[in-house]
Amino acid sequence: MHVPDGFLGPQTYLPAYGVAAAAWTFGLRRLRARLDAATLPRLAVVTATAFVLMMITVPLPGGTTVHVAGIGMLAVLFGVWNAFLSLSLVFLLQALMFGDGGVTALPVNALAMGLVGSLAAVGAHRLLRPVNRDAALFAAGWAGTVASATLMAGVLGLQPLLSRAPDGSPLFFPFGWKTTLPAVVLPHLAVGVADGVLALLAGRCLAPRPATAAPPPGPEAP
Amino acid sequence: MRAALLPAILALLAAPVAATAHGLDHTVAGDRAVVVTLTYADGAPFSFESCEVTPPAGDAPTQVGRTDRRGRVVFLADRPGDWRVRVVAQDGHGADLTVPVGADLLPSGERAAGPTRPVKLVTGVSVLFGIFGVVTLLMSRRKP
Repeated sequence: MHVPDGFLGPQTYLPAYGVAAAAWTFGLRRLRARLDAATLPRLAVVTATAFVLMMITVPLPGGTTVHVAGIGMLAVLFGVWNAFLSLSLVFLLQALMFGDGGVTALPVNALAMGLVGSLAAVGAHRLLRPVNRDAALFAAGWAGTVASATLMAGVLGLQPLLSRAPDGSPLFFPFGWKTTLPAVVLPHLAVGVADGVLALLAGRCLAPRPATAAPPPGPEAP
Repeated sequence: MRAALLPAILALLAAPVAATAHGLDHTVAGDRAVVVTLTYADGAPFSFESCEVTPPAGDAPTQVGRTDRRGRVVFLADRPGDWRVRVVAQDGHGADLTVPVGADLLPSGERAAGPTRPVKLVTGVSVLFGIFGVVTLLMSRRKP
């Protein structure tokens, strides 16, 4: 789902950089104000896990490959903004160091998967949590992946409408929504199941335990 | 009667000429081509996906088609410079590559595949932990 350079026109990535810059600034301020030193190591481990999982690709019939992204896992454990920043960091690393995903496409990748995906995951989790905790965790993982894929398909399919050469040929990504929506979203309906299981496992095993009551103060040691 | 026969004979004589005008000549020759091979991260070939090749400073592609079964784009450069090779799959996978071609009309310097997946994993995880470690240190200094 990482869009490479050359697929999105400046009409898309320049406004996306503006929106993403505002979101990154807001997220960083929130991180500085709220994140404590005890949460950071956990966030580091789960972010690294998401990075590793993104590199494990699974081939699908038809020749394409897919991978889980851990969007729901990060969003459920650490909230929307921490998940957005962590995933943005992963995408930046992948784009700059390995060429996985483009630098021009970075804000779209970050907004679609990091922000919208996390919002969808947390929304699904909050909606279903009163009904069933496990179902809510699974739905968070699934919704995060499917929402990201849908937005990405929408952005890709928009490109032929935005930029065309004088002869009418698309300048950037050439396929419209009729092609991108099924091609991108359908495989991710299945990937969402894997991301749902991942979020379920993470939510059950990695969520911080509720703080226990402090013991009554005893006599101080001499 | 004779007047009608003459055009008919001329038409018959011209018929083979008209038939060969629809024929297609061909030649077969070996040549040295630029070969760009594309694979997914797991090594699977990027097969039968759309591709186009655009010459240096060219506005329009000179070759449009699909990658072959092994995920290759093969083209014959007719001028040196930076050729653009764009491959696109319907699901958003793809690449927009610049292929430098030298005066001998062959790629100037072969480009090897990027770092292997284990190298990427170790490097990426190390960098991530490094960044989070620095942030933890900064936070611990800020909030004693």
